[in-house]
Amino acid sequence: MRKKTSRSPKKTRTVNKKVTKKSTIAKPAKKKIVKKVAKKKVTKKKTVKKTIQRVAKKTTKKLIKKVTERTGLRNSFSSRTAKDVAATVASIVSIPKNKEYSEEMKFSPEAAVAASEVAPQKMQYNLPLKYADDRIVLLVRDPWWMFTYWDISPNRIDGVLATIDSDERNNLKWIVRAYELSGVKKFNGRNANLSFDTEIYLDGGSWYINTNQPGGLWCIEIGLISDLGNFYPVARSNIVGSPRFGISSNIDEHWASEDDDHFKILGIYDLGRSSMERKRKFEEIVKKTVSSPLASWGMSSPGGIKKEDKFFLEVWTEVILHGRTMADAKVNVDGKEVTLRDDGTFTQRYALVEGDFEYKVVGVSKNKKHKIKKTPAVKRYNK
Amino acid sequence: MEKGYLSLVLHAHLPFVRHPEFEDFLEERWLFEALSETYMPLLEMLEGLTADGVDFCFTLNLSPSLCSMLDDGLLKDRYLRHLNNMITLCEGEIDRHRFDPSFHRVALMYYHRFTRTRDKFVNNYDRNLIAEFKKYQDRGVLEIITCGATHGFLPLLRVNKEAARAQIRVGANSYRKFFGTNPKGIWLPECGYYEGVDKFLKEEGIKYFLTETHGIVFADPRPKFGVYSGYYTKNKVGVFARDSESSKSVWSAEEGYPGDYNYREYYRDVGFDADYDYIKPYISPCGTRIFTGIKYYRITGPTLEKQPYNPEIAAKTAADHAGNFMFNRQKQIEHLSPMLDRKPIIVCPYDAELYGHWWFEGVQWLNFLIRKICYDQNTIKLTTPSRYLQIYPKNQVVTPAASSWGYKGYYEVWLNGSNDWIYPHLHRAQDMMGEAIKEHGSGGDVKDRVLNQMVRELLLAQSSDWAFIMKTGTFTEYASKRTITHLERFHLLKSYLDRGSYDFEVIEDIEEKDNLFPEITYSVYCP
Repeated sequence: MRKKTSRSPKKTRTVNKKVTKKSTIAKPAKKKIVKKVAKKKVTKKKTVKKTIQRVAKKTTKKLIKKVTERTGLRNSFSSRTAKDVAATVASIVSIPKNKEYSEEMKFSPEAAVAASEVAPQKMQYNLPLKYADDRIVLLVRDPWWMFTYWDISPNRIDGVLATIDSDERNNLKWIVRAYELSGVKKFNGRNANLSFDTEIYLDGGSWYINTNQPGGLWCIEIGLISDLGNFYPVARSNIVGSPRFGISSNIDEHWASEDDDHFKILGIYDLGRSSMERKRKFEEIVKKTVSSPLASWGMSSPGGIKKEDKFFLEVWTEVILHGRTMADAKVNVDGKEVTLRDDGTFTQRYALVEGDFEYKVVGVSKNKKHKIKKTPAVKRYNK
Repeated sequence: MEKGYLSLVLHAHLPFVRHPEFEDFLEERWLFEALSETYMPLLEMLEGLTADGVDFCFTLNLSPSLCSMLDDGLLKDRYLRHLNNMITLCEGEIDRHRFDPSFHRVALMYYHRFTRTRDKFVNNYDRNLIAEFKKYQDRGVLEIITCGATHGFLPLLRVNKEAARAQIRVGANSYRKFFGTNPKGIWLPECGYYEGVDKFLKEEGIKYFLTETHGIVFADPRPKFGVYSGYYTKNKVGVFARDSESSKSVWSAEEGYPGDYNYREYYRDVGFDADYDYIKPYISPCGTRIFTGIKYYRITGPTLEKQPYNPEIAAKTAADHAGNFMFNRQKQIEHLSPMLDRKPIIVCPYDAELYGHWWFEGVQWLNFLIRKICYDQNTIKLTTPSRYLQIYPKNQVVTPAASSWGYKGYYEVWLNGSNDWIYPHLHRAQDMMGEAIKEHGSGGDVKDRVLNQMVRELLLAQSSDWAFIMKTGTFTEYASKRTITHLERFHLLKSYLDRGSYDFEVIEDIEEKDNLFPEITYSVYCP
């Protein structure tokens, strides 16, 4: 069964998926068809992304071959040698230090290998870098995509490697194998409805997997696959269900309604002749609706000043009225008393818009016997 | 006689932000601004509606972390300080604009708002907003519902089911403490639903929850009445979905009412416009310009040349928009009513902070809408989900589709390249929590105390706000730091248990900083 990849991530992505009707864990080698189902390029403006794209275009094999030629390293794949390879790859291909590397890595094993040793840490913190608990976890992102992360100990890898014949150990690759398990009562590794493989970079630690199958029940295994096609699982994930997408065709007899009536309630008119057609069109509408950004209005969301994309200049004017009198006197401007400092000085600032303005300043001595008026005036206009 | 119902649901939530270790902390302003612009105006609206004898009801979610902050003495003190500071700024603004009438009256408006808010906060409400909201619940006009303890996004925490359950349990317990009764409903954080979460709601006696539109439209079996009725899940918990048509008219920043040119422009603020030396005492302590809440312009149009704000014209526009919203709902109900063998319900959930904070005239709009519905028509009646379930106790049983109300309708906002690094740490900590309870639970007062604080730290780290902020790209450093800090504190406390030796000064310090849910016991984490 061949699966389509209708949605691809925004990032550069080169994934080999191998889809088999039933899983084939540790079975004798059979030649399998490998289809490149997703190979999309997205042009990026930033140099770093271009560089990573250039890296991503090359296959791991090519890179490793190049490294091997230079270093004499054999590409037997343990996590330690993978790191060594990565370090050397990084020295061959120039990856600018940029924190955006991490997103690229998730969709391109080659970029991840190349970038891993040179990319800076996003943030310094004291959480464990590794848990080494031989765990792989599967999370749902949406009806079409899942996310997995793993943390496999060297001991566990060594243990699995020990079970592989020595002549099969060359060219081992790390993959995650996804199994669809709807209706499967007890999963034993071989009774899935379908499975497919995605090549991954072990030290990347996580991956997004396109299942493109809403409403499925999924489990994955991480492991090594040999040139002969034998799969050696290292860890198995939890089982998760991907969200259903679409109007259910399951009708509750106590709460049944005609299709036409149901669609009218949902606001579907004149979308097509058959109910199937209308259902499909409605789902397309829903897909667009849920994909369109509704603003989130929480307090902590859009903060900060809106970035203006056009050049602008704003000029405001203010008048600063300042003066001094005796410290115990009273001063008002246009009838409103102003605050004097201890030394009898005062400062007032007024926004100055276009027009003629007078500022009637009156000072009165403490004993109210003396009163002085001064009225500065300004004219504000734009030339 | 009404032909159908309208259920307004406001979701008021803020992450727990409280930093006693700093004299002035920028992010605490989220609370102060929401208080001045949303929560206090909502109370004032409730006061007015009640005084005028308006027949109304709506639903308000006050999240447990928000309640914890509203109840906190330090934050109350700081809010008062903030109000005083704002009033000083307003006094300066009145002076500054004395010779500019169009701005002067707006400055006066802010001055009156802030002085009135201070007066009510101190003298009328005795600084206790929770009691004030509760008063309206007790009068039967407000249905307050709860939320996940710290707004943890349950579909991504569920790897460990105790973690999802603890969010619900603590949310329900916190509600009982503040409101003295069981919560009738819950706002699932970010409307994040997955099959099975209703079991935990049932355990807490919660009668209903809310989902995004496609949670019900895609439910199984096919829901007979679309989103215009309540349903039950297999565990007999009620579920209601958002009506997208009515939501959009308010919600959308571009097409919705809040974008009208007469309304106040959010992005022009004296914090950015005023002379630096003048505004410095009112902006960030480190001198960075920030929003102060004093804004003089109206949206005007797609132009940089903004016109002065006119409060009277804006209020009239809000009244017109309320009339338009009501008219459209009447038409909607008249259209739906003959097709259903029951009176339809239109459920309109919104972030509370949209009203007043982002959409300055939003509370006025709500006030006009409620009054118009009461006096100007007979087609629709305001209700709450629990009242609707009383009217229609027999409902179809469906399994809603997994969904959220986030961008793209599922979990991607909280699971993407900017924030997926948190989950390995969170899930491990969740597992460790259970293991630590097994190993050290009932091991004496000290161990219990440490375990209780570990639960608080874990809950704080789980807050969906951190992942959300990482995604939106503002305050990201703070969000990452909060996730990490709470996990670090969690691990530190766990290390005390593992070693059997305790630094009580440190424990006390952590308890003092992260002091929410004082009633918590680690048993909330037990199966």
